Amino acid sequence: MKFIKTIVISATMIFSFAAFAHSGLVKSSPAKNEMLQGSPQVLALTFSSPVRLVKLTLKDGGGNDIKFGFKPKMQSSNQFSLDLPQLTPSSYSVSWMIMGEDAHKMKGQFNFMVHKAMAKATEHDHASHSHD
Amino acid sequence: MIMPAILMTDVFYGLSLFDILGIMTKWLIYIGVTTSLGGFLMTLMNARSITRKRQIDTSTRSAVDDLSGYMRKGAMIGILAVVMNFFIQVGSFAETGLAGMWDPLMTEILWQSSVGGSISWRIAGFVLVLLATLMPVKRTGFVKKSALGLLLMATLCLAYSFTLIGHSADMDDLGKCLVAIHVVAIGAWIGSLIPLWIMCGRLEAQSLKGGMDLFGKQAIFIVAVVVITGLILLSLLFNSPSEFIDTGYGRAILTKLFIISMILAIAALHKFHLVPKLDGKAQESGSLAVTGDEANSAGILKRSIGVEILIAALILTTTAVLSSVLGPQNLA
Repeated sequence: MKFIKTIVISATMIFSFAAFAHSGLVKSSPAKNEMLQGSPQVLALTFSSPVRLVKLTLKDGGGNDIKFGFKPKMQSSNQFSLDLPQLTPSSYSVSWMIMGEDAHKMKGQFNFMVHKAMAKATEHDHASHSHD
Repeated sequence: MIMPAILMTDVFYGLSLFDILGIMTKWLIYIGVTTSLGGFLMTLMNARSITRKRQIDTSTRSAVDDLSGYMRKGAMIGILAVVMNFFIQVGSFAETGLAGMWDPLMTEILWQSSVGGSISWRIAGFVLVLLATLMPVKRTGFVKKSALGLLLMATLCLAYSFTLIGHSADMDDLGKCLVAIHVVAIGAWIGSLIPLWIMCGRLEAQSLKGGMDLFGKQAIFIVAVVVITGLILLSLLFNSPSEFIDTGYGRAILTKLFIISMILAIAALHKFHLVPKLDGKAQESGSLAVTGDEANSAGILKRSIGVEILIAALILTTTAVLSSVLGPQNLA
């Protein structure tokens, strides 16, 4: 019993501090926290290795989904570029989910702002991932 | 019991239900693979012993039947776990709750990815194992050779499936080869423990000693392959020794290494202490009949192999967690 406890305590110490290593997104346009003076034409994402882009959503400050014709593709690629509709001034949040070549799942989110010259970006970028 | 339960909650804090189910089914896949590979190794051992004796005695015949049953159960667990693991991954990507496990779009995406390939090879491997267990691996040449051939093909299919997904998918051909060899060696070793454990309760001391000695000779080679391939893989996965301390993946690997050193110590204890002792007792008794001392020695060995099996299960658990939710820095 003591042996099992020791193992469980050790495992807790190790895994609770665990940091996920796969980073995924390396570049985007608009960039994270970027403040734009007009509506961007495209949403472009660059990943560190070829991935399948499984999900991609764009939400405005009110949490409304912006439709822009994203469809998951079966082919892997490092770069994805999608045409955007005219975006009204607001803060926007992009959420992505990818499947790596090794079948691991990664997801993340970043924000950008359109117009609102004096407003401060409500940055809240985080990335997390879990594997198969 | 409450304390470990709370701590376990901490360990899995931040993991989704699908992550946990994924780890559990992956562990079951490992059980299926190790059972198949370990059963194959023990079948080869029996086949060699049958060839030497030029006949099959009752105890070997029953051992062969036991091994077929053992591999059959393992292959069936493996097939079920592979299918469940696939739909759990579909659910994880769909992110729409349990109903998402049947999401047609995510099913198609996953099936067309390396996951689909890996599943196909694994199911092919397990089906070959099932077919082999239906053939009697007895003295008759062609049937025996066919069954062993099927098991060899199954081993190749299962080993190849591990090179398609997980961290090895990001490695070069050398890394993939090493992963495949590592999986076969450790699977054969760990999967042999339950048949050996059963042998301790069935065979009289001299036969048990003969079987254990034969296994011991092969185990030294297998352990060497496990250790060498494991060390080369670590050198490929880690950029610097500090990553063993600084990263979650490194600390998890250190845990695995610590547990592996425990199982190696027990294996050494068996080879150099408990198995020779078994022989001494048999010689002292001068009889094939099981004496109290022999039963005691076999009992100690059996209990010790039992502990080894529990540690092996822990190694598979650590590996399932490692390969599921943690990643090495240089593959980031």
